[in-house]
Amino acid sequence: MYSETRRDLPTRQVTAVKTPLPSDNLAESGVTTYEIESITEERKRRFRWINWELAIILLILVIAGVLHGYNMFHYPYIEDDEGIYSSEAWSVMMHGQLSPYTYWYDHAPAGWIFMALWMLITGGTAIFGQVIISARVFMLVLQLASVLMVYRITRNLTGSIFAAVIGSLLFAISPFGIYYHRRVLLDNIATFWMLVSITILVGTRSLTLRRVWLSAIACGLAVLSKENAVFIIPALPLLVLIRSHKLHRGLAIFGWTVVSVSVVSLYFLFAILKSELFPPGTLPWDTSSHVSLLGTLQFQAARGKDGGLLDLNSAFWKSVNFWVRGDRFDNLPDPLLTVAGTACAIISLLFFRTNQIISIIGLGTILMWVFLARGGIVGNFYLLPILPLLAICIAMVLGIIYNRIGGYFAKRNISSSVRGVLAGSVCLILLAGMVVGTYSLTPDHGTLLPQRYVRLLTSPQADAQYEALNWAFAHIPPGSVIVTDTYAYMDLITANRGYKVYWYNKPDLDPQIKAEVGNWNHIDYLIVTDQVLFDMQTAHLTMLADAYTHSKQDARFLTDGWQVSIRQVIHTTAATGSAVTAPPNEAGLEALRQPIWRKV
Amino acid sequence: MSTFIIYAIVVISVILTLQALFSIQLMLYTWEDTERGVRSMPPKHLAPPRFSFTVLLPARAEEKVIYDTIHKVWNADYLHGLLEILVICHVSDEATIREAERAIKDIGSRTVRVVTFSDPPINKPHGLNVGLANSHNEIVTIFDAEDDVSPDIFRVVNTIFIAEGVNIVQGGVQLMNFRDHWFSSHNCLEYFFWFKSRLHFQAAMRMIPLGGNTVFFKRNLLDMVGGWNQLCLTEDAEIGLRLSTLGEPIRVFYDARIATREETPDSIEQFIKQRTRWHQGFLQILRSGVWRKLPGRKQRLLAFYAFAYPWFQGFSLLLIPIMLGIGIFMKLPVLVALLSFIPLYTLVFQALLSAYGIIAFARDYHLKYSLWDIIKLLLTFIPYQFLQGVSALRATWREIIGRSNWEKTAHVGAHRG
Repeated sequence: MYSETRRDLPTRQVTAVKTPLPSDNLAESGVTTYEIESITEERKRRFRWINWELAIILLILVIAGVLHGYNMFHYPYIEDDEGIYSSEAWSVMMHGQLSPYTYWYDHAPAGWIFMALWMLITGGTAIFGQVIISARVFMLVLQLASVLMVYRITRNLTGSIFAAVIGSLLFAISPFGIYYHRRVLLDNIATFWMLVSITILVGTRSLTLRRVWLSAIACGLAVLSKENAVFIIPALPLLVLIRSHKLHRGLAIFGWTVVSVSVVSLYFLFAILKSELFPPGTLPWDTSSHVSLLGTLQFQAARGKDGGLLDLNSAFWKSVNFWVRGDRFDNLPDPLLTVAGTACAIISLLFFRTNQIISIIGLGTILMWVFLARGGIVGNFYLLPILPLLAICIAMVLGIIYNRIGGYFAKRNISSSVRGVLAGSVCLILLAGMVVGTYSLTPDHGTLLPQRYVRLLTSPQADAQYEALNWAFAHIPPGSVIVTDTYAYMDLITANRGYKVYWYNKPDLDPQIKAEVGNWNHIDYLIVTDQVLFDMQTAHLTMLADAYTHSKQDARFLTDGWQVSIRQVIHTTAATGSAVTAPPNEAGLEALRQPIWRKV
Repeated sequence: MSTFIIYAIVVISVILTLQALFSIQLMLYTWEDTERGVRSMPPKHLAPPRFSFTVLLPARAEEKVIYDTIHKVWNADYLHGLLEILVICHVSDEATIREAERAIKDIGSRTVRVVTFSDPPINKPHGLNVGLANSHNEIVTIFDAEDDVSPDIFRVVNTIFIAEGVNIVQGGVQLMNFRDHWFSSHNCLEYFFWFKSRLHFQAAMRMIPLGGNTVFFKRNLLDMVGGWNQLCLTEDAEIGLRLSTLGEPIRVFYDARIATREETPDSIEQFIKQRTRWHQGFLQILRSGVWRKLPGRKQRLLAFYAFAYPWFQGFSLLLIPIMLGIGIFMKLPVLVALLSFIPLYTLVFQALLSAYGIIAFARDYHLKYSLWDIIKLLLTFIPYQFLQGVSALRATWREIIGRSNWEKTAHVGAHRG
């Protein structure tokens, strides 16, 4: 019964003294352990390398910040989704409403509520001028935090600064990443929370319950920011399992699950409180038409079903092709992270006996892939939550190799600096091999890569959009009814010129707006992009199409492949004054329930 | 009016949530990290016997169990020369005295004795004071007549007194018969979370209501504070508080292998009587104002929280359905309605934690349990809170009308297999 000799400290000193943890805990948890030195010596040492490491981290952040931040308002063009999310954030901040229009559960709202918080703290448009600019700066902040967390995670899992530098840099300089991280996308916010959740779990040498709760909350927020994040969930309790001590293991896993599910359930509770959980007609007393969470979920689950992994023509393989080889338009593949990262995720599974945490991160990465390969809608930016994990996987595998080579030479009494150089060189050669090998998969074998970076840093692609706005303010008379690509919505609304502004799809799809606008003849101006034209045709936006056919182009702006045209609707006298206001009909409601899906 | 209701709901929701979070934190204090977990345990290496112990066994109408208890204590693994056992009875309790004397005769040692008293009040603190006056050894401890005492307990406590230089040690007490009644499992879990976790937090905060038994004092300390308060219904908590005001550190340890085992009350009526006594005792302590003498503000706050907890609990139990009703039937802003549900979330979380607790409890004590036990536990979670609420109301009523006799809990030995 009493085998091990252990003298407990007097209770008087209990709160002040930190006892080292039982060593079996550390070995068991798989976190790299360091020899316990005397406190002063350790502090001195830490002081030295912290400063050195701090400099490295700052350098990485500067690189990440410059690559992401430089030219980020001009490239890429402002997509309609960005306009939607930033105006929803604005709506939360200013009016306490989840959307300028009826919120129809298209996505869980935590992402733009978080963004609204950012706008509140930074004073709305006060600092950045435009809402969309403020939102893109927010993305920069999130990205810097994410890079830092990738560093922290890799550093803790491998114990190696070398690996941490590789991981965070791969994540920061990914051309695919820079392009999409600049965009105001919910996936970026979800990725941030996912990394927070992981960092909290692996951030210390021993796991406390408080960290478990915080991690669970962060994971819940990730799911509520973008539903895709739900697929990392199986991996995280496994992390808790490995990281916790047997004294509180059961409680930690149980508590993590309960807390994260509770956070996610708030979304459903919200729908219940608004009587919008079930589609109309599901409950016998619920006959009025309204939006519903489950209706939207059902609709989404049914969308774009295909063979996934097993069908070479599926959306999944098309996207993989894009991620590996790029496409004609923006052409920003990342074969290194996609191919080599996935390979390293699989390799990491081999370390299950020696380093379970690394395998679990690899497993999490693979689970995210499995979700994409399930056979459903896959957008190009669906890679975003996986991207940091892929970078971590590569860095972890290189880190293990680095440590093993170092250990091999250490046995032969070779000095530590020589060891570092030798091991580092081997890893860098391996990395170079991965770069060459994976980029040879692209049509240009990576030779266009420098040009792509130049484009990221110099292209004025979004300028047409700003010019169009300036033109609109100069030429569109106050009080006009404008139907616009969502990118311009917030600027037109906040311009204080009495414009009546609508998202381009709302007059056709939102019964309330349809009734409000009446018919095409009440629209004065259209601000049109290729996206608007595409949706107009594919989603049968008839009122928009009518207005479009009755309009003439006043101005057209084009920079680097993205164009905006401003069109004035030519009113017909016959229709003016006797506008037939169509009441919302069944077809309109049906369309609202099954809205168009832009690019997912 | 509706604005007022909205503000009220927001404020109440926030308070209830914070209270619940704090309560959950106390419930899980020991599990927070490995350090706390390890520190809550007894020492692993035992020192040779050095201190002498006096065991006070106050007994009233305990003829069914007292014989066994005396034997168990006497047969503990400790030098008999360092052990004194005093069975304390009121002179009128002839049956118990007879049983105790039979046990003493069988043992045949002069250090095991029956001590009687004839003056009122007939209650436990009075008995304890009488016992204290008749005792001789350095360390005074209390066990109840129905306790199953671990044979290792004296060696463990002896080691703690030697190694840690404290003057008060509180060992774990655990109710065992969790399957006997619907409320037994909740009752057992209260003890489990209290002694395994919450007391350790209170020890760290230096504000601790002690338990009624398995508590060990250096006798000079008891002499200094003048023994137990004979007028208080929860003399154990009261003396703990008074010792806390002296800044005396208290070491708490808990290990399933050496916890003192007891039984739950054997009927709802008994349960409510016992709980009423506790709640009323807490109310007496709250009124006495002793807690205001604690040195730190945090300690005073914690003391107030701990002793006012029964009413808080009853109050929040009443509020939750009202809030839910308002949340559902009144057209509230969605965010406010959402907020009004958060206390319910914390309640559900606590219920689930107790489900986890029953598994951990059964595992620690090698008891069998079934899925049905867990389902039953979840289903009776609210009714159990209701029992507590009723007891709190009853205690308040009794305190108001000034009735403070000791309603004794009957013991049948259900925890002894």
